[in-house]
Amino acid sequence: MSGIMLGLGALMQPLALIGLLGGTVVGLIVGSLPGLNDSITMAVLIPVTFGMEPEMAIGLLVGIYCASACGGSVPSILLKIPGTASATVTAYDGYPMAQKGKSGEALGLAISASTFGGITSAVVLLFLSPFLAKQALKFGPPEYFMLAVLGMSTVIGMAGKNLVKNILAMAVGLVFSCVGMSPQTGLARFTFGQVSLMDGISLIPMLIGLFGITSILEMIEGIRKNPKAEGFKENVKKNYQKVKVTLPNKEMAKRLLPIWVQSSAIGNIIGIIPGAGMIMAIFMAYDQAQRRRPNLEFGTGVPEGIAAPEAANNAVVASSMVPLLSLGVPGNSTSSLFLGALTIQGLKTGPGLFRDTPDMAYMIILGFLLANMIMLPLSVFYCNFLATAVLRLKREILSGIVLTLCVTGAFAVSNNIFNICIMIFFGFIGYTFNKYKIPQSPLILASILGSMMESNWTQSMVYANGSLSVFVTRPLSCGLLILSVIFIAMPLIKMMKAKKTA
Amino acid sequence: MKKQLYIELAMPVVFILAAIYIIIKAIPMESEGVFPIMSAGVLLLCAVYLFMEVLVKREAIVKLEGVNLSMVGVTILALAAYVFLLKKIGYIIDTFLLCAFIICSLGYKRFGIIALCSALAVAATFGVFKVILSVPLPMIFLDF
Repeated sequence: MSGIMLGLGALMQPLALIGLLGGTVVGLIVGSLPGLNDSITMAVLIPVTFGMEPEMAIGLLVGIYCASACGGSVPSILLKIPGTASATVTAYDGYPMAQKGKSGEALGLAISASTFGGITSAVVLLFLSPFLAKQALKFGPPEYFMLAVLGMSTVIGMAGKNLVKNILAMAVGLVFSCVGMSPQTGLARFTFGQVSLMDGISLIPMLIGLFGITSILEMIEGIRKNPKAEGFKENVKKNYQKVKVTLPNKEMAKRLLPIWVQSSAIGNIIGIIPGAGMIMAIFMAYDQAQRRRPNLEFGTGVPEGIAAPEAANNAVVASSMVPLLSLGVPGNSTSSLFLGALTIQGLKTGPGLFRDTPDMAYMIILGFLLANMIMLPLSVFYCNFLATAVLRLKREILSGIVLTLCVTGAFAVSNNIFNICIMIFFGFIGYTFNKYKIPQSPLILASILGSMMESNWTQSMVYANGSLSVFVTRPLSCGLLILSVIFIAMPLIKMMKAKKTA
Repeated sequence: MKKQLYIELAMPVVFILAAIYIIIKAIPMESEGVFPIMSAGVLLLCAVYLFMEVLVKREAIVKLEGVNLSMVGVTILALAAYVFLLKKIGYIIDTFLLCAFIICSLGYKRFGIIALCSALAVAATFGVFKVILSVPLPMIFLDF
């Protein structure tokens, strides 16, 4: 308790509050710019924090990390371009909702879910930090492999009637994940002599292509050949301009509460496991929301489809700091940057952080809590301002601006022109997939989880001398395997039952 | 009717060929090739299934009525030209041209507004990425 009071004292200093507020604003802005994310911004701003007071520097970074996950949903909903990878799934229901003229409602759902997820994860960080970090460390290669399998099995859950097409898209994603250096020996595979492909296919340009370029191509394909569509667009535009961010009312909050709780729990658990990442959390949360509400048609603009991924991605934020603060093990790339920033400020992470500098340790934790609280009004203000500005623009002009943002964002990821080529390639892939009614989400999930799956498969095989029994003899791995089987079997059983009754 | 069938078959055929290519390339990789072979194997099976399904069901999934495919092609070519010209004419002019082209090709004809919006879009991205975040955008002038 004394630690919490010390932390509160440090956080209430004006410099810390300014840092936190500034970080939240910066986080919202960078989150909503495709191509920029929390990691890039932190990497850029860490040198800037050299000369700052530790309280201000930490406040700034905490604010950026929290708000960028929420900011990513803004272009995802308004333009179908995820500002950050963690907002990928939000576009599935957010954009259709915005198309129906309910952009304000969609943004309100995203903001409220983000805040809920963020606050729960800050509470988890505060009370469960040391215990949960110990549990996460029990994960070895077989468990990580099975975790990736579990992630993949959610794809089956999302399949509906398109089971084969979903598996095909997943296989394409796995093939794409093989591009680059082999995790075993570092041998270049399928790089076609391109040095830029040695590190694999860059995720952000891929997502910008799949979403941004695809949507522009789909807009262009209808030119002068579909007058009805123009009428619809004009109609939607009129509705858009009247909309302001509306937070869910009591009835809606009651309806979404189970989804918020469930998705936040998923986000917290995934966040604590080092390396599991936000992407897995958002897909799992979306899949579980679909299972919970089977009567709703996800992908057409249902509130649950926005609430689930948004609560999950913000729940990952603070919980990913659990292994870093408790054991000094960064859970993802952003927390690795955090580790760097803390080291620069002369702070040592791990159990020593709580023992030697409890004020700073608890300031970070309480900072996450406060950042999520101030994120709510700031996001509403920001979205009202941005949404109005964006939606006042004519569709044609907006497309030009979006494309400018896409090419610049793709380049900025690693200052490489080749990333723009990746973006164009995946724009074409996304367009073709849509034409053939092949879902994109399994492709994205598999291309992210593929490399994790392969490296952990290899390590597991080495560990078990090539015996597959390693996946069933370890309790955690076996538990994950059983869960995966359940996830795969349930929709299949439902399909068979439906066929029988028909 | 035949044209539609060819269009429907194109997708599984492309994936079958891609899967075969990956398997052939991965076989000499020995242990490094296990995962790509497994992934491409799944891809091959699914693509063959879809190929058969198209032949049996003869269902029209790809709908191209009212689709201006030539404009889609032109846009992809414009993006390819953008990449080619980026280091030759620099970020500012190249991005301005791309932005203006897209607005124009979407049917907007007020050229003054197009020029203004394109210039503002480029200025805004330049300000955020180059000035604030120090991203080394490929420039011919204004390089600092």
